Amino acid sequence: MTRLFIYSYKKTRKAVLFTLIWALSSLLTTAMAAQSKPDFSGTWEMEGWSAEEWDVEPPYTAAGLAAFQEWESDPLSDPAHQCIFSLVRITTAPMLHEIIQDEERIVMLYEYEHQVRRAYIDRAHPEDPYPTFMGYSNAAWDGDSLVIEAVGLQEGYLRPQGVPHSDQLRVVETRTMLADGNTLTLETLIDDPVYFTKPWGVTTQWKKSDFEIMDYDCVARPHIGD
Amino acid sequence: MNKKIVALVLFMLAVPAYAHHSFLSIYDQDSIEVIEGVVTEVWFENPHSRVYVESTDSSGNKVVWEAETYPRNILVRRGWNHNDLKEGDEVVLKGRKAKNGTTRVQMLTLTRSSDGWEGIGFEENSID
Repeated sequence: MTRLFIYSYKKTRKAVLFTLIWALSSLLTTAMAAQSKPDFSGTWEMEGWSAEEWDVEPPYTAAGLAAFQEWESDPLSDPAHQCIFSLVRITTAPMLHEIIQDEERIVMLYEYEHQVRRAYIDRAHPEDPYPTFMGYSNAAWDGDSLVIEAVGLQEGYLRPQGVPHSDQLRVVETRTMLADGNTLTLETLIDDPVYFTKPWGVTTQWKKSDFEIMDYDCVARPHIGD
Repeated sequence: MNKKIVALVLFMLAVPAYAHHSFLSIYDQDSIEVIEGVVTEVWFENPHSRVYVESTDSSGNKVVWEAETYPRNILVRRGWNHNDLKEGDEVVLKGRKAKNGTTRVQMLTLTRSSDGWEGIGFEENSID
């Protein structure tokens, strides 16, 4: 093996040159690949969802069922009545959202409750995040699909019908552009080992929209709390 | 690519099914109420809009029905503006009754008797 690396001076120069060219070309290929990723920038409008996954009884654990029954006994305790919505309520609602995408991050501007969400590409999550309603998101490319993972979520509800989640919830969203370039599918995986016996979720489909995002004055409405 | 096609086919099959078995809904999908009455209040709001309609039941008592529909932003995008429906308008309201037996419905259709103007409710196959 060692003998293979014993070169004359000229041969070494050639090898260095070759290595340089190889490194440059691979850098160029990587850069080109990054540029050729689908661009999800724009305003998106929900077209529909695949009910097969979402439209069934959630796979509750005993703790999950107890949390649901607690909601059922007092639905007004849902912070949504005070215009506080957790991540999945926002991301799976049939309201508009705008995406701004560059090579380092994806910014999502939701009409629902004016929420702003930033997902940095290829960045690790904080180790022990303080849980909030929107949590922490990062992003990675899986081929041409954009995968956004959120953690650090405080207890809340997934749906208007009081489907609870724990603070161990991990949400994985996979966006895939369809061939027309104006439609995408968004798979939302709900992984919460405390409240659900297995991962589950919903797939929604979105199209590019000509509508502009409007104001959303939930907090300022005359009948807040009703 | 195959995965994308499967996803698309799933959508085509699944979306129409949604309206028929919406899970954990507070409204009974099979119990439709048709109410004729007068609009007493219009809540044109986010996250949900509501219209209150007063009608007279078979015993001659006044009953106020609460009808829930889409958030204002969605209504505006679909053409229902904030001055379109007013207190005092006579309407025919069709909705799914609440499972808990209260005088509350999920709006399916709302038609004003004087000119046929139609509101926007959770028509068949609608989402959320």
